[in-house]
Amino acid sequence: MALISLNKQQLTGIKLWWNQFWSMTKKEFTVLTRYKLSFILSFFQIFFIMFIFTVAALVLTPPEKTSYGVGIMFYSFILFMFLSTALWDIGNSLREEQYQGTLESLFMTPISYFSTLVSRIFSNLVWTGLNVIVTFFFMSLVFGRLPLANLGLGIIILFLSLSVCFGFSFGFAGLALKYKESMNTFTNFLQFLLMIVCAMFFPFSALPEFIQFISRLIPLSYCVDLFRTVMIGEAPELLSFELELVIVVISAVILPLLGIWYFRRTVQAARREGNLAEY
Amino acid sequence: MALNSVKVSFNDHLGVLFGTFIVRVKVISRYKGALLMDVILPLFLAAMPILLGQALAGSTTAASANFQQSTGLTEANYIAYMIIGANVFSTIMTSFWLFGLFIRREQTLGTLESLFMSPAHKLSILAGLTLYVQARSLLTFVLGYALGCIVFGVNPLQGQVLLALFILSLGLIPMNGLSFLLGALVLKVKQANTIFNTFQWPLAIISGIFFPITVLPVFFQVFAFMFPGFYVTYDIQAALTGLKWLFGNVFMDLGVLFAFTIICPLIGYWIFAKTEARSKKAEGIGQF
Repeated sequence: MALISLNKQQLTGIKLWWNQFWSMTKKEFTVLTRYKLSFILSFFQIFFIMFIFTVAALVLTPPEKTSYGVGIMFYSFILFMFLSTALWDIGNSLREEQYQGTLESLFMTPISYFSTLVSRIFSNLVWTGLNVIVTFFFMSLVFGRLPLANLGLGIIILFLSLSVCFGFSFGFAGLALKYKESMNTFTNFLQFLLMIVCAMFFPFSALPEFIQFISRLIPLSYCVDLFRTVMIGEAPELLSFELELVIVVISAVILPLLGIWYFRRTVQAARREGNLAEY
Repeated sequence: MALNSVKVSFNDHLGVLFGTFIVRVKVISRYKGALLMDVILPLFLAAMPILLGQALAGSTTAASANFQQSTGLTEANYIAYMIIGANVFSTIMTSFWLFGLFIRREQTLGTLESLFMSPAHKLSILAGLTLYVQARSLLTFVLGYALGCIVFGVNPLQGQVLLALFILSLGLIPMNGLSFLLGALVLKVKQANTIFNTFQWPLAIISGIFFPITVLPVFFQVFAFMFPGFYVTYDIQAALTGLKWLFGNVFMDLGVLFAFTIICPLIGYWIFAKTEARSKKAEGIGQF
């Protein structure tokens, strides 16, 4: 009897995709919650980071702009955390499978690439979301009430921005498979570069003109600008609200598709060359 | 002949010391990007509060006036102050976590138990690691500080540069000594990266890297005075930006720092030795 006797219909469909996604997500959650100390300390870690940078900025700020300054720092940091999760987690998780020698066998099974990738990031996104909520309360406790102008619209823009981050993430997972260890330094550098160019912790007006020009070429800049100005209740800095929203929506659709396309191409090339398991 | 009856001469200790140093230099020379990040990262860290503060204040001059009013440091250039803070923070944290991360790496590679069974003394290994960190820290501090000053338009040669480098070299010794404590913690609770990532930020706060601890409640100040990282950071900021010395003059400040260079390695090693002995009796030290 052949080892695989399933036909094509049994290997596709939403139900199957959901089952694959859910099983892999459960496995990721199990790994995540196994390290209880990490889980608990992560909540304090985010708060400490925000605290030091916020106080550092506030010693340069006139008292009447305190609430605005804390708002910029907090809402920017939310996006930074999600971006950081997106850039690192999928690539690292695949590298881990390489080290453990299970990546090749995983990609020999008839499961969807998309569910493999999304499940790897989903558990960490939930964790990051929990961190954000806890830090919101900590920050409000220390610095007073944070500005919260339009929560509903803010959450919609956050989800669109997450989709943009997914696009980066899928692309980076492909790069991690291709360039292996050298990607760590590059990802680290890119993360901090995006932090500055996309003005993640300060208004775009703080950047020199030529960097602002580069900022306008990166879709993530519009996510940052739109999300934090909607939450704070100010007008966006780069373009009008409508135009920025259009750019964010288009990027949220196109970038994940591009990312998946690149990832599939890298995996297929690695399978052809036989170096999928090499690390 | 039993291993523990092997006599280890002074030359053997020196061999372990330089062997450890050479291994670390060879490893880091493979990761040039990591070295580059050591230089660039402090610039990114300092840029965040500087750019946000300047944007909210409206201008560099207004930000400077606000800094002087909020902190009481009328002598200091706030940009230099924060760039120095970020660079010192980066170097002292590398020293502080040195031994803990070394233990963790050897544990995960499965070589810790055999390393500790060898007649090489842990102090010789730590001395080799310390020598490596001293060389790496001085290099990255000089380059990182110069880069930050160039980007933000500050003169990097203001103040007493050589004195600042001397303070850094001296100040890294107690941090290396305290790193034994982290080594002990890693033997006990294993998850070194989490501990590292979380606790480096409260330590940054009490070290006063971006703002003096006097802007914080007294609670923080009590911890700051017990932590050598605070003295290293402040004294380098004082040497380079012309702030008043903590204890009135440079010799008093150096004296306090020198006392830490004696006390911290002794306390750190004593606690590590106790924890190691306990772990060896229980589950062994190789588990991770």
